[in-house]
Amino acid sequence: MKEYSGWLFDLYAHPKHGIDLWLVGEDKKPHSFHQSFQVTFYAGGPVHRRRQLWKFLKDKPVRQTPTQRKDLYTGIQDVLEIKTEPCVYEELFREVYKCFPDLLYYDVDIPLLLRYAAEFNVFPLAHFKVEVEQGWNISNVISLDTQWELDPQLPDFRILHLRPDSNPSRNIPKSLLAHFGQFKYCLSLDEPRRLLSRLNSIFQQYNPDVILTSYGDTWLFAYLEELSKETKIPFNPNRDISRSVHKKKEISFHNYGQAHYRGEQVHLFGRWHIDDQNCMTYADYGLMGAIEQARVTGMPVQEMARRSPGAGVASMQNLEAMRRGVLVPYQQQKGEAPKTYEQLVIADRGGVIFEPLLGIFQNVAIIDFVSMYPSVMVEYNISPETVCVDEEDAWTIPELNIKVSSREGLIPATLRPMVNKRVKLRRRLKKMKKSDKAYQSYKASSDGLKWLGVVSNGRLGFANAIFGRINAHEALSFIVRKMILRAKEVAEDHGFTVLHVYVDSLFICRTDATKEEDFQSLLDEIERETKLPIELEAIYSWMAFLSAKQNSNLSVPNRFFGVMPDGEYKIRGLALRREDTPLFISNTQLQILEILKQEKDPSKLTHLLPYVVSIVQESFSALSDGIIPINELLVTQTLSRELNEYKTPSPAARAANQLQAIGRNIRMGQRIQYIYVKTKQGVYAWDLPDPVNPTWIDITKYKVLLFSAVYEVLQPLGVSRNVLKNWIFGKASYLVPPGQLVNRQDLPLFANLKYLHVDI
Amino acid sequence: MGHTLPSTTQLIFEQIAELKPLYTALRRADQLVLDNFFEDILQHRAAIGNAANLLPMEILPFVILLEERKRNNRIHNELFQLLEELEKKLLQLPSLEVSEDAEL
Repeated sequence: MKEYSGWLFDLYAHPKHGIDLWLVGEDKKPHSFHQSFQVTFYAGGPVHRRRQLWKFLKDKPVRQTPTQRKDLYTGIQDVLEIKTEPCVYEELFREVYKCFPDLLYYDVDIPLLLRYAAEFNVFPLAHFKVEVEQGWNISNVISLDTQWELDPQLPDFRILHLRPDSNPSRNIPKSLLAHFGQFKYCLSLDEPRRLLSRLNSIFQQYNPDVILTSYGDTWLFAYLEELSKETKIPFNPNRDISRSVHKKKEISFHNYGQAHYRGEQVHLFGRWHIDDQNCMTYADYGLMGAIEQARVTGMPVQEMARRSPGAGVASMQNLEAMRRGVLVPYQQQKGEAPKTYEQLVIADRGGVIFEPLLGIFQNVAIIDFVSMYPSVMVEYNISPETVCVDEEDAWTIPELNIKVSSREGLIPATLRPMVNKRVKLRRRLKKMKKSDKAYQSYKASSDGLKWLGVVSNGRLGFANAIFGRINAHEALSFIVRKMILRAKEVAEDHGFTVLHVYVDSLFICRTDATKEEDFQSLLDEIERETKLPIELEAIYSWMAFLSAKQNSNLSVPNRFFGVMPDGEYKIRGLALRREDTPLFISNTQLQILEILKQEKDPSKLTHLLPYVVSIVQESFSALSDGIIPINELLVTQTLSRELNEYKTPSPAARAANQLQAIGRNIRMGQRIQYIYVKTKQGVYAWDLPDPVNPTWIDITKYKVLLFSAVYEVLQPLGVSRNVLKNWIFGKASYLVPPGQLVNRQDLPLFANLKYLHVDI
Repeated sequence: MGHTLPSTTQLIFEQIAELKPLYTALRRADQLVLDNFFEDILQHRAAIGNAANLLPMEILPFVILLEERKRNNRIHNELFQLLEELEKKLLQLPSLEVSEDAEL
């Protein structure tokens, strides 16, 4: 018997029996093994039906045992345990479900890796040891790692980057850029034989663990497969060359009210493939964040990198349930407990979002609860099975008339270690400099966990979540509202002005509070009062809260910007943060902010207006002169519905129609790029084969967009639309000269009543 | 996700819409005052929402009153400040002394 230690890299069903498992060894080499492993699922329901199922399965390749298992809501249940080989499981279950749709099924829709993780207490990228018998058969697995390790030891991955020289949906790429280790190659696509040979040689010699591509899912691997057929030169990107690549179909879906599109996916065996153009939140945290998410959730890295964090949270819950011996129901959710209309009015609300005070404020601090929703779930034991219970020792939320059990629920148990880990990571990051070696890796891990925390709240109320229940979601939102309002009270008790409240953050200022230590007693008291971790995010030299576009007297919660003493911004809701703003307009807005950030005293910001106005005038002149590169005028928008569902087509839909007319496959959630033009349709799709004629460009439309973006950042300084128009277009200064405006909040009501002024 | 009941903003706009017949029958100057009331209401959506009252219309006058009181206080404070300044400046003026031989 031999022992191997390393990191769990990949795992999938063997074509005949058991599983194939890949380990990246401590010797930095990949090793593959075979292991006997069976998939287990359960069927519950009336005894006679279970008996019929037993008879039905008698002659199939399964092992059946009547047993008892715990259901999360109803306790111990009689069920039929069915074990089978992973390679036949999916087909077998489809057959069973078709013949016995009335039975209740458990532990069905669970990836193989998660089942393995639950059984052997390991997880993707776990540091572990295997004992191997003859024939590379694993006889024992010993975990050397936990998911909650702050400094996990990870292997040095061999990463191969592949990307075409242009976006294949727009231009036919001419070359493929390959980057691995110290080497960078530009492989011409004009010589298919040479290309395939070079790639095969890279795969053989460098033997990458990870292939990071751009457009790998939607173009590259399909293109290479086609070339391989044409040239008859074999090409297989898998490490396990007995397999062909695994493809998953394209999909359009809604997530948190937004339309998304995920193109066809290409998954590999024995190595990972991640296409950065076909992922949801991967861009926010990169490979390290995806690895952290995979370690914590138990989902395969290739899957986790592409999927939404919601899928990760569901996976965590399933893993915890299986480890606790709790059944994971198939396509069922606990129904809503009835409530009165009055209770519904109280319960059916989200987080608290204030309307901020309008204007610019000095020394604004943002304090926010760390992972607030998961922290509340953990601290107040909010879980679908713990709310609306009838237990003597349960605690009550009188406003909602519900009782919450004091026995730890499945969701708090799942989230507790994750919340603790994120709080520790955040506190470590706070003490580090951004230039520190480990900063980026901690940041990626923290951001990966942040997304899991963010969606854990939504999962509780999500109609398709297995471990969700609307009453639990309402109880959670209620407690969160209560806690943030309590924090607001405490801040005001400490003499702070609360400028804004945004779900889990408070924007506060006090004339004498300018340093971190000035906030410590406040943070301590809030933590004591709410039992939730809270942190000072940053102190901003100044922060501007913007008004609504339709009414300058009304504030809006999600449009503000501020500057830290080191010049870093916090920007929300400005044009430059929006996906549909052309680059040229974003750049102009950024240039204005660059000027404004030079002044730390908000009362002197108006002194910078002459510089701002000259920059803006230059931008308008550049637009009129037609010297802006066309790609900087590109507008990108996501299709919010299928094309045939538009009653009044948006500009993006009109551009998408042009693409569909030339045979392109257009689906909801796809990003469409276009230019505003002076034609009847008003737009020209960027991906059309003929380039746009520069004389068609609708300069007036872009001037309107630019003006709005400039006004957006100048309006908190007291600049009105008319004054700005005069400065820019009239080049006039007779109304109010630039640099001589007074900030709006400094204007006393009687500023104009000069007769009350007495000169001595 | 998603809510069964309309949001506070929706409720407020519904209430404002219900006042349309009243609004249209007012003179322009009065309509502008009513517009100010609506702005005051919209600036307190979070608080109105948190009140979770079955009849949001009951809460709206309080919000208008609150904003009116804030304005009154501000005017009061500024007036008081100006009067104080005026008093100080009057005290600094040279006192008027009338000489005996001055001609009236």
